[in-house]
Amino acid sequence: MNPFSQMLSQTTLLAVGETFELVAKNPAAQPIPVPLAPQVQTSFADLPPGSGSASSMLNRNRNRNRNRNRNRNRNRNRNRNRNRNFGDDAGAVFAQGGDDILLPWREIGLLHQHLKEWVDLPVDPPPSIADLRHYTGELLVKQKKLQTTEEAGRREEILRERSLELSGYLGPLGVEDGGGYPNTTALFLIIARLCEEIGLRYKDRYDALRPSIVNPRLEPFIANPAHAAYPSNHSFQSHAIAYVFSRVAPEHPGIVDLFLSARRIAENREWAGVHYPADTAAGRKLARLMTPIFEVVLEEQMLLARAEWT
Amino acid sequence: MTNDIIDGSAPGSGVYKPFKALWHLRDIGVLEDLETYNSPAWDTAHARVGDGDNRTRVAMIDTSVTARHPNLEGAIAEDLGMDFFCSRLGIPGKTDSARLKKLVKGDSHALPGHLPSGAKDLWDALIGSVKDIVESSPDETGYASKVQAATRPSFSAHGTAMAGLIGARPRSAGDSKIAKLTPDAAFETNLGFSYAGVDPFCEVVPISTNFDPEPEQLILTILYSVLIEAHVIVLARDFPTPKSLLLDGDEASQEELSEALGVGLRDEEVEGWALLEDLLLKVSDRIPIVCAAGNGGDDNVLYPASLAKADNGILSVGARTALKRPASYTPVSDRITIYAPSGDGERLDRGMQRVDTASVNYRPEDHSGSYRKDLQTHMGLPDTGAAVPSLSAFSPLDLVSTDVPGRAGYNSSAFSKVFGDGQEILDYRSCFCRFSGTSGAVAVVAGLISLAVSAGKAKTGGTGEGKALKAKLSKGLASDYETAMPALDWSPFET
Repeated sequence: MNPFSQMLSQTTLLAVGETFELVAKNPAAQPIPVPLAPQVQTSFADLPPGSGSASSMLNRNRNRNRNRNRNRNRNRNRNRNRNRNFGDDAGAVFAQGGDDILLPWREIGLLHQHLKEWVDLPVDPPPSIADLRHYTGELLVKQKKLQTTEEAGRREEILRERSLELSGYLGPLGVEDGGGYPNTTALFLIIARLCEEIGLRYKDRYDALRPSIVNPRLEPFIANPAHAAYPSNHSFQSHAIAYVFSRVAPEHPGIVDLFLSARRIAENREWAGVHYPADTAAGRKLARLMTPIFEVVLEEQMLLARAEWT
Repeated sequence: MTNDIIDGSAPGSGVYKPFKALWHLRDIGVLEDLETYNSPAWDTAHARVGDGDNRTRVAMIDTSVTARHPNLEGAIAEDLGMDFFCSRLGIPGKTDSARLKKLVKGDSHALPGHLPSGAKDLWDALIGSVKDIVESSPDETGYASKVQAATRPSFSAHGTAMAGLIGARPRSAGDSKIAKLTPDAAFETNLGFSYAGVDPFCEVVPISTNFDPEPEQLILTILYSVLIEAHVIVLARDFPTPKSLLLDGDEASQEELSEALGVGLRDEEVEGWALLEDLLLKVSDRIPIVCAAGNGGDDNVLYPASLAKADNGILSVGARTALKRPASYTPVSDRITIYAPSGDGERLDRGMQRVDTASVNYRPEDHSGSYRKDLQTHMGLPDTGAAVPSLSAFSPLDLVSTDVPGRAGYNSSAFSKVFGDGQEILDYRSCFCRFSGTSGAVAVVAGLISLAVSAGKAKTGGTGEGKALKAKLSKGLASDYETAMPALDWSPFET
């Protein structure tokens, strides 16, 4: 006789509406019930099948318990008014298109509490100058192709992506302008802000040359940024958003498209002639390595974002 | 169709009849009933493996798991767990794991002969990395000590629900203390944490990955499953190969795939995806690989479930509701190996009219008799034998599983802390969640296979054993969407 049948027969777990009750065979053991949770809230998992990229859908959780934590409103002022002009608020983090948040000072503080965990992650050193010169050939091919009619769309993307711009991340999730998803938008902006700082530290360490410095035959489509090349911060930020969001809502049917979009944004910098593929790869790797630290530093904001999707 | 599930739910009321969380275990014949909870299958498994060391090992390639759930204590093999999210060659759940150390002890760890030779480099690298980590002393500071795993419990909902369906253990009163919610609540609880997976004697090995669509980490997850001598591999996720992401990707060149996906696919990636496929097929010959068919409700079966054929051990799992109908989201395909219990979803389109009439969103006036007749007449719907297509075939029963305790997970909590000062659980309700999709179904299938192994009714690991077990499970029946058959049950293992 197994030991479990007897245990199960003494207490029954019931699904009751939106919640659960343990019901004892002996009523004297019954706890005082708390009120049932309110119900009905739409989530992506409730949408009709096929409304997203079904090929990557992981789960159709019904997520019907709506008893959301009521104490999670501490960032209620995180999202600022939209359509501000750049630079009119010294305490804000901006994205092109108008999204902005207050400077995430809590998260920056936490990040620095964990400095030792991320300051010397095993990112490979950049390739040698000789190798970089060799890779320039690949960039020259891309540079030439970028001028063709077929790549007109990519040229626009490159220009748009010079500044932080969230449509490349929100679009794959089916919310192009972030409307209704303020905490997801805020999460992405905070990640971008933190990555900027972390990335600059790593860039400073390696002080790697931009492609057009290595080989002046390359004429970048956009101006070289005023900092070192390795690792690519566009790649780091983009992939960090994808990695972190894949922890927030791995069930989201747009995850694979989010990764592909992040990769394209990163690769566009190679097409623009301002990064080597090695820079892109290093940014992607740094993002992957940073995810556990982000899980700690951004836990609150990640849970807030998750609540928008489940 | 009449049933005892939706009776009592008034249309549009939002009031559902409570249901017992383990209904699916009766549905698949593991439990005889939901009163005594008698289970000859569990009796046999317990007599054979009990709490011993020879527990059936389920390799679960998914998100991370919250091992500190009362029902998952003892079910999760943290010492064999591996996280590939951040580190290319993985970070063990416990870097001082004696069992992992034993598995990689010595120098003779050649790639098993039945696996593709192209996997040799990754196999050697994996063995080398595991050896480095588990054999190094704790005060050494190397790569592994610097890179952390991305396994925070707050973001482990999916894996926690999967693991619970497979191998959760009931906890008797006293094992888990449930807090008094009011000072004068007159109970020193004798409530048990009354939930169980299909095989509460197995061990679930969490193997977690990130979702970056690149083949290397996926190859490594399969190789690692072989290394730890898993009896069954379960995959609720898909492996997003470039070809599988396109409608007609099979014929596309590398350049066309790059163009379609908008990124520059590298040669080694394309080769990696091919190697992964070869590996999956060869591993499945010996170890069944249980794969979710997907939740699209169309004719597309996810990859690698789409690889399921009679000559391999890959199972493509569809979802079947408590009303014994195909779930609304399960793929409409004859390439489903087996259907297993899961939840349902609403649909109202030309292919299916399944409406939750008990929902508060249900408006009877939208579904008048003439409207429903029109659906049948003008949309060319099949004659079901009834006057109109049945609207009452929606099943409100989801699977129930273990959830991340507290506010995280699928089922939130008003309590910011889950465990009180005395480690009592403040909100037991947040420890459970509803779970659905072919994810849930695939976990139930993996659990049943595990139970068959635990009970000594099936073997895996030897040549052809994965394939043979799959055939036994499906009883040689052809796949049929309309009846959601063959349906998973214990009967092939009863003798």
